[in-house]
Amino acid sequence: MKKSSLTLKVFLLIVANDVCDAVAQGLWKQGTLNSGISDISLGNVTQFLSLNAASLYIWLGVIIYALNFFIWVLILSRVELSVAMPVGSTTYIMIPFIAMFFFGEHISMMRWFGIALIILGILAVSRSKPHHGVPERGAA
Amino acid sequence: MIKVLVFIFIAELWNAAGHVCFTKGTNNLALEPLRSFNGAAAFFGKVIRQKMIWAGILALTIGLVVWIMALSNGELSYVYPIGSFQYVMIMIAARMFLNEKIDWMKLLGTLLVVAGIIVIAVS
Repeated sequence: MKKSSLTLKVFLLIVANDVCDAVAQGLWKQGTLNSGISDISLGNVTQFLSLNAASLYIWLGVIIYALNFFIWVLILSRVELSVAMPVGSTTYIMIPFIAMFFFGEHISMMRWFGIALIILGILAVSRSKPHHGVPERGAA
Repeated sequence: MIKVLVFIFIAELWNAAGHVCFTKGTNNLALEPLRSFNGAAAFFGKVIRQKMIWAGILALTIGLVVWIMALSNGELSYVYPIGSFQYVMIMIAARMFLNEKIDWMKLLGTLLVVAGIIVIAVS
């Protein structure tokens, strides 16, 4: 049976999953920055796609993302989605810090407030119980 | 500003479609065998024979390309949190295509996520 409480091993798996997600997003952001295109239009979309398809950063992010999918399936085989999801929302805390330290983005108080609302929302969504016989499965 | 929001929306639309396909493709498969290596290998062997899984992978791939376009057009700390719109999309898709119920707690959570997105989008 799937557990409705966390063990240390599963907790570490979920944190690893979140770190991988955050790292992949950072790699993709860096890849797109390297392409030098920050305003995609019909005129430069093919150039954007070919530059990014040749980017090591983009592919490294894709590989980490694909590996993360298997970690997520492993997590869901051990605990219920409603247990895994709240811990999974720590990516929303990691991302602003990555954005600040690596990309020099300024996070306004309003943006932090918005992120806090989103995390509260994810916690609430995960508190609701599944209603039918089929076990709930969802997004990574 | 509108353009990056459109990219995020389109990316999450494909993302939601992908997760609906994955759920349809795995609903009949028990995840329990994953506890052993042989069980896991047998499980993934079953998974990759499902047409719905491949439809899901295709949808997620398209979603990822559009997501990277969104990342290039906006700040990471702006695009990623707004991407939480997928919780709303997937809930609606689950209601429409998988007959999953929406209770008050889910609705409250979704409204909080939407409120957070609006705060970030207008700030």
